[in-house]
Amino acid sequence: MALLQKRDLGAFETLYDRHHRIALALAYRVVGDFEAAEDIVQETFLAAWRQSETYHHARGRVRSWLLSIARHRAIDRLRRTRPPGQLAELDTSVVDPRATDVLDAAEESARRDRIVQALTALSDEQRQTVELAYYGGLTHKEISERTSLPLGTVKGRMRLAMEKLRLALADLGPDEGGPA
Amino acid sequence: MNDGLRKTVEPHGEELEELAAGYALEALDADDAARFQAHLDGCDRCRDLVAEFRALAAVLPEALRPVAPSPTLRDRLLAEALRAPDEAAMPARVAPAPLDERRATGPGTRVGLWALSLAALFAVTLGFGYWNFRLQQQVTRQAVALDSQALVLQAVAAGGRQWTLNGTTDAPGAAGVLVQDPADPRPLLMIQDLPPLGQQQAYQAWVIAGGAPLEAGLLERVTGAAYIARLERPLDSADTVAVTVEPAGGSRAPTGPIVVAGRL
Repeated sequence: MALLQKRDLGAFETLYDRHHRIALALAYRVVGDFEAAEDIVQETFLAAWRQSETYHHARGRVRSWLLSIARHRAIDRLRRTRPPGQLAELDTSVVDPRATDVLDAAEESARRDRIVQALTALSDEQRQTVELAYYGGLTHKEISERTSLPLGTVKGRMRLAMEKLRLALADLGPDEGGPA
Repeated sequence: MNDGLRKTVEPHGEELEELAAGYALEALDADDAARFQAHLDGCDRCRDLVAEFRALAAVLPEALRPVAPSPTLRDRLLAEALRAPDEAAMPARVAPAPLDERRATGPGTRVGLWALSLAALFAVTLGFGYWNFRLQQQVTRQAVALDSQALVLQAVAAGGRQWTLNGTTDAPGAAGVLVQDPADPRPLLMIQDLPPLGQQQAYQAWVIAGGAPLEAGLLERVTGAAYIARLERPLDSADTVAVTVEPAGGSRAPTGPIVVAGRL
């Protein structure tokens, strides 16, 4: 990151090579449109290039920082293109045909398996609540309206889901594909 | 400045703790967000919980299968990065050769003259490149400024509500407008004539409801002293919008002086 903050183009290429596929997966998951997702990834990395000074190591890893930018931009686009209540269906089985495991490092793949297992261990309702918030950008109230569940139930499920994930991933560690 | 803005902090309880997950996932509605934010500043337990939940939220997308982009994305991105780099990426100016060297016209200097001519040509080329780059950058900034103004006009024309913001004693010349475009849930904030910032500073917007400030994003400089932001918070129950000077990257709660504020 220090090199990136000195506008080193090589460091920028390394950053892109390490993280673009997961950023694209996230953007695609939110907006459900491959071309739009690619636009979001491009915007994300350009923002990282031009505003790298806004990254603070103490606030998390580089990958988390990039994914946070990508998520916010993807949700912005989602809200611009679809009125509230008409968000894309969040079907967890949706995987673009261009999705690939071949490029995964084994370690990264094992880490992903851990997170998938933790999510799978949640009840469908708990997982849906977390995903509607994270990938759909919905608030408690919006989730309540979308699922026809009482507001208190939504809040409770979200809390319980995050508690379960916390326990399941307590020893996950911070590694996210190495520093950039 | 925060003391005057915050309402009485609620003591820790199960109901507030339940909001920590929603806060970390940015899923709180405005009233809950204001309550929880006010409580958070004085509650170590909830701050720790939020930090843990935020770290968890950050790894959620790692469960997704990585997706390979189209082959041209990388080239497009790098071309764009090179096309409009930050000022810090500009090539250094080429220093003129020392006078003694430029006057070296004695015997045996034919090769040296060639080298000097090439060096001069290189310098001129870089000079033009630099000039062209600055011109492009100015044009881009002007275009962004015009786009921003067009966004405001478009939002107003579409029936959007608008409010004015005025500079405080820390930025008496500053003024701005906040527009709620009916087609975009994120209010558009434009401020002009803000004072220059230090390298490690940023302008941050706050949506304030009942005295509790909620972070609403960093302002982006579009041209000169003009800044713009799409606020990351709805105005639902807000009564004030303000901008403060914060460390680069922003703060969770206001720490610097208010430079601009407006009542809704």
